[in-house]
Amino acid sequence: MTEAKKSVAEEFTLPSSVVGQADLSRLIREAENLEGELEAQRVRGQAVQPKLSQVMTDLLEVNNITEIEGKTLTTVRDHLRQLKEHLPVVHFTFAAEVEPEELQKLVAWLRKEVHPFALVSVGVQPALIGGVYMRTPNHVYDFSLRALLDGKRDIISKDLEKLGVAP
Amino acid sequence: MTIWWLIFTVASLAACFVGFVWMAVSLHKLHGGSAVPEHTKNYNELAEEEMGHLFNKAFREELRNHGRLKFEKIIEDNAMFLQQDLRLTTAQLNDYMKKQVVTKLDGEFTAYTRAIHDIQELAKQSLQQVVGDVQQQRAAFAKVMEDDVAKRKAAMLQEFEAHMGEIVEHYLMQSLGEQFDLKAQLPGIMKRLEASKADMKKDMEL
Repeated sequence: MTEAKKSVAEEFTLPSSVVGQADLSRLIREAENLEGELEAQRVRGQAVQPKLSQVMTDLLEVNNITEIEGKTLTTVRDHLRQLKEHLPVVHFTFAAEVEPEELQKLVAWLRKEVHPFALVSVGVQPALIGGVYMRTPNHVYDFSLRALLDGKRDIISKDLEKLGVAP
Repeated sequence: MTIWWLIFTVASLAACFVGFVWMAVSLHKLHGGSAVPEHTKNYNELAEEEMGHLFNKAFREELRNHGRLKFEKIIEDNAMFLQQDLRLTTAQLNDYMKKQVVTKLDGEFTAYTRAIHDIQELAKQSLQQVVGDVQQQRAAFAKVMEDDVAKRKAAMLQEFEAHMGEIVEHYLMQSLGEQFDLKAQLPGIMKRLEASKADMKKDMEL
């Protein structure tokens, strides 16, 4: 991890509700919008608390940011942009649609045990039958039921040989 | 016919012949058929005259009757012998015929039996050959069937083995489908992720 990334990591934490790059992009867009809104309120002389999304609320909460200011939002936006460019992405492919709760559990585990800022992208491939097919930046981990069955195919062959029907 | 019967028959016939000759000579002498010398002519004439007295018609008739009876007796005896001989010959001929017929029939029966036996042997050989051919064909057919069955079985197994993964996958997908909840799988997935955690960490720090 480079020094710049380390400093960002030290200063910033991602909540488990921020799963992938799409969430980061949404947060960056939201931060920009909030900046614009706060600037507009400042120009108009208004002081209305802007409405935040749940993800943004979680982000601010885990980073102990209580006061929403333009400068703070700019810092958050810059940090998010840096994270989006440099954070590793792990692709998970499941056999069926995954519930957000399960996904968040996976993300939490991943950030706790493997990488604190790992992003996750999710895909669906019914041919996997079950389990998960995972791709890190440099490796592929096939924990699917299909791979398990492929690996155990020799059991059927051996059973057939025992029965005396194998060629 | 035995030789003794043959000799007896020939002897009988010879006796008859001698009897005839004797009678002919006797009659010839009685009739004076031979040439008489001159000096005995007178005696002869005298004898003839006396003969006329001695051998008169009645005496000659008596002699003729006597000869006829003798001849008839001889003829009857010979006829009897001839009849016996004929009976004997007939009986022997019958025996001979029987023997010949029996011999011939035996030969024919033997030939017939041999022919029947030969035909039986031929039929037996033919049947054995047919049975052998049938068994050979049956064995060849069985071998072809076994080979075919083995080929089909091998092909089916090869096909099954080649597509076993797809079949099992399809079966599981169709059977489990959406029912195979990810929530239920999550502990297993986490367990496998834990096992690969070190590799993942190393990979993502690069």
